[in-house]
Amino acid sequence: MGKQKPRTEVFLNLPYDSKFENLYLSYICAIYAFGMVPRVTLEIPGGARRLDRIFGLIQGCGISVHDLSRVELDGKKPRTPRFNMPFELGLAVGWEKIGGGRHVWFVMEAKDYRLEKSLSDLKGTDPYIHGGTIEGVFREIGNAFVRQGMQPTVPQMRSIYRHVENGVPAILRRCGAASVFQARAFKEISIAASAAAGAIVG
Amino acid sequence: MRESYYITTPFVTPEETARILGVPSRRAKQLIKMVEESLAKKGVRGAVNGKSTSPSKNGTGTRAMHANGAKLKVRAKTRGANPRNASRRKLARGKAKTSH
Repeated sequence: MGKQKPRTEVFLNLPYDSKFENLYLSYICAIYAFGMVPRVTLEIPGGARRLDRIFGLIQGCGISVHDLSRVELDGKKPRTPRFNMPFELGLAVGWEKIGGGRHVWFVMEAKDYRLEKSLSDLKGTDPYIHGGTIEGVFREIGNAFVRQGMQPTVPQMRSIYRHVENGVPAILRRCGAASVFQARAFKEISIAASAAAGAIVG
Repeated sequence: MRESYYITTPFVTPEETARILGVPSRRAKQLIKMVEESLAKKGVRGAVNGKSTSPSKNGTGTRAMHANGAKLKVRAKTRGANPRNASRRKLARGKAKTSH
């Protein structure tokens, strides 16, 4: 039996909050529309040294997508800025530098020119501006990636999203999860997105 | 703007996704079936395992159009396109007039 060909895995660096739920789903669907596998830090089990696992996950992915659209203070007290996403972007940039360019990273933002202020070290890097919308995420992922042979369209990504979104309540019920931001829910949503993408695009 | 990243690796199948993410194959099959049923309701048939029976890969095929929620346009026949229907057309016009 021949060796299985490697699949492209994409590290998704996203905020996990209820206001971001739709965009979280849209990223997952868009990545599957391109035939790739998204990986998230939700998969990392508790107890392990988290930083090592996160870095290991980034190293295992050829690509990372970092959404810095929710850089404001979070609602929970004590109110703090959200450092995790810029920090993980830093890890990815570091890995690109020391890993001999084997890693490619993309930055997403909701607002134009905000990154220049919030993370001026990245001046000269053009972020992909999704405008905080599902359509925007599909459009910008479509700008960031090109698939050999078939380029998924935004309507196809929207269709995948609709089918996945329909299945989310049943998935959450079965997982006993209150939100989509749980490891098991992520994995099951992934299978559904992969199946929908295979039928609609693949 | 950064250049687009060119993906050349094969399109991942749901079974491979399950293997990569460590989802039991039985549960993966249930999820695939759930999606298949959802797709069937919307008129998207065909295999889910990375093989679409869609005639087009770019959303231009009939099935893909259904999937995209696009309405199919039924092109009206232009007058005189089929001379055999000329008498029928005349009859229809006549009927329309009498109804007024």
